[in-house]
Amino acid sequence: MPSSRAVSNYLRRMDLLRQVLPETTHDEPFVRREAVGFRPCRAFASAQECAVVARDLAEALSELVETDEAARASIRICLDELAENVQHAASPLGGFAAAQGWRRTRELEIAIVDLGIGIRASLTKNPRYADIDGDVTAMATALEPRVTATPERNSGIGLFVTRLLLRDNGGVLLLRSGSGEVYSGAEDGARETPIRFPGTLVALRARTDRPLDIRAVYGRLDDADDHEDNRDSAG
Amino acid sequence: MMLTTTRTTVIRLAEELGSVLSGRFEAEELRERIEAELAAGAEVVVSFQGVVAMSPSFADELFAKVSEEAFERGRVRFVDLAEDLLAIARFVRQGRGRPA
Repeated sequence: MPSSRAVSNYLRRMDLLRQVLPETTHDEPFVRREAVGFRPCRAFASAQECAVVARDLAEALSELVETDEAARASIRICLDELAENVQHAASPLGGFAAAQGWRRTRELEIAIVDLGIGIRASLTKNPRYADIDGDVTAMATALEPRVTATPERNSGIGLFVTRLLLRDNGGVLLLRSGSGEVYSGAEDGARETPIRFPGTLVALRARTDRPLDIRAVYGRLDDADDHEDNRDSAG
Repeated sequence: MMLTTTRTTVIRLAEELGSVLSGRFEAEELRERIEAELAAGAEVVVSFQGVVAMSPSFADELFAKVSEEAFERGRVRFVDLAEDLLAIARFVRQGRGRPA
């Protein structure tokens, strides 16, 4: 656990240890209050459980921070898309998700994590991306439209629209998988990480004082295809 | 001369699934239901009245995987789509090489 007591207690309250080490007894040197405006770490495996978790997390955030109908719908859709990816990650423990609203800073944060094979191993199952070298390249590729490990089943649009949604909002999308980390928001960036992460972490941070509306993103999807066409012809 | 009548099934998505359509498995069930109706000789109208938003997975499963022959012949029709819903429907269809 982190050396900071505040961080350590936060992780305990978010039920991280209970989920990861369910057989172990954990001390709680704090008073456990009702989960209002946040939801502790929850496990999910099936598609139905994904949908329930997505709905619950989206509703939880509106308990503490102001979110309109469009924002709640957008959060739910993004969560549902991200949670679906977990099902293809071959994670032995399924996925875990947690959400937190921050009234003072007018932000919300959601994280979905799995302990599966990671983005690079998943993406290279698709022959089109078999040559991808490195975790950072794999994650950057996964953020592009129509990129998927399973094209026969999935469309590869979920991460892409989530990225555009957060960019419009002034938020950030963070991916962590294997030995890399990629973030996309007002600025995009990536770095190699010294500690290898076993699986995939996707975190969304959004502002609640700015529009968060996936419908506006959809309105620009034709431009995304034009961009792809131009890139293909340039390449 | 024998007259035949065609049964039309209307599916109102907002009433059945709520105003936010998400979850590939839900769309998969819906598509299978539409295809069962088509196989039974019915025509199907899917109304998006009251739908606020739809996930890409839901759109992909419904618009890009439904029987193209039934779609082209007008035996399955999607109505009351707002412009943003039309946009995601076009996008997923193009992704599977279908006409927008």
